[in-house]
Amino acid sequence: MQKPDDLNLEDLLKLKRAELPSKAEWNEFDEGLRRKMALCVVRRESVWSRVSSKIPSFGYASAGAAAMLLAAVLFLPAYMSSVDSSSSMLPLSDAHSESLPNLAASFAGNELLGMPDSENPIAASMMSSESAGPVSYVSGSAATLAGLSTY
Amino acid sequence: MDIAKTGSGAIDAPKETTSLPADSDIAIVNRVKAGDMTAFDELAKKYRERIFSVVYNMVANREDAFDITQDVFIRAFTGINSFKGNSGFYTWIYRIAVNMSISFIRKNKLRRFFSFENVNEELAPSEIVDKLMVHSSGQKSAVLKELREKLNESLQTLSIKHRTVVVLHEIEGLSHDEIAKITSTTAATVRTRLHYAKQQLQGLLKDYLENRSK
Repeated sequence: MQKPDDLNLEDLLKLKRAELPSKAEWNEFDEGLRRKMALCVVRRESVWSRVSSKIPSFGYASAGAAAMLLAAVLFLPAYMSSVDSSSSMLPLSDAHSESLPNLAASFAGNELLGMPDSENPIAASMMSSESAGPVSYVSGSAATLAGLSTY
Repeated sequence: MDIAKTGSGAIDAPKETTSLPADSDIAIVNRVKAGDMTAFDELAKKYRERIFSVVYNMVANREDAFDITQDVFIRAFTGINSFKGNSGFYTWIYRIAVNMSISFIRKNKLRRFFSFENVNEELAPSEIVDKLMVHSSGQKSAVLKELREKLNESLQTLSIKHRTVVVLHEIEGLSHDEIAKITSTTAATVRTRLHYAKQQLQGLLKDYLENRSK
C-alpha cells in the first residue's frame, strides 16, 4: 500500500518539466532562430530572382519555341480528333447494311455455265488432270454458288 | 486540470494538462500567411519551451535539442501554407517536433552521446521535492542530480514509440486524444503504449523508488 508521502513514477517524471534552459540561453535561441528565418526568406527570394532573371536571357527565339510547343500541346488533340471524323472510311455502323453484289446475276451471263462438261474447256482440263488432289469446298464462296469447286 | 484515464480504466492523479488555445493561434497563423514575420515570433515564443522539452526528452542531448527545436520552427515557418487549420496549430507543430526528433534519433543511432539540463529547483514542484527529501540525507541539488541521471538513463532504454507517449503524456501533460492526433494513432494505442512504457520504467526505477519510500 502506498503512503501519501511515497514517491511514485509520475512524480519523478513531473520533475523533468523543471529541466529547462536559462533565460540567457533562450535569448541566444531566439537570435539563432531569427537568423535562420531571415536566411530562409533570403534564400527563397534569391531562388525566385534567379529563375526570373533567366527568363529574358532565353531571347525571343526560345520564347517563340516555347509558345509553339505549348500551342502544339494544346491544339494537337483537337486537330487529331477532327482528322479522324472527316476520314473516308465508313463508320462501322454502316458496314453491315451495305448489300453484297448479286452473284447469281453476275454468273448468269457466263456462257460456259450452260455447256456440257465435255465441251467445257475448264471442266475437261480438270477431269483429265492426273495430279488433281482432293477437292476442297469453301462453303458459301462465289465459286461454290456458281457450281465450281475451288482448289 | 484534467483527469486522465489509464488503459485499465483506473483514474490517474489529476494531471496538469497544458491549456493550448487553438483559436488564438489561427489568427496568428493567418497573419504569418499574410507575410507578417513578427507574428511568427509570437508563435515561437509561445511554444519554444514545450517544443524544446519534447525534443530534449526524446533526443537526450541539450545542444541537439536546441538545434532541432530551431529547425522545427523553421519547418513550420516554411510550411505554414500547408497548415489548413483542420487541427490545432500546437498539434501540427508537436507533430513536426516528434517526427524530427524520431528521424534525428534514427540517423544518429551510432554516434549518440547524452547531455542534460540541470533541474531548475525553482521550477520543480515543491511537494514532490519535499517527498524526495523526506528519505534523503544529502543536499537537495545532489539528490535532484542523482534522480535526473537515473530518470534519463531509464527513459533512454525505452523504444522511440514508448518514449514518445511517456514524454507527451507524463512530462508534457497532453491527453491521450491529443497524443493520438500527434502520433497518428488511436487513443487506445496510446493508452496501451503508455501502460507498457510505465511498466518498464517502474521496473527500471524500482530500487530507487523503494529506497526513497522506506
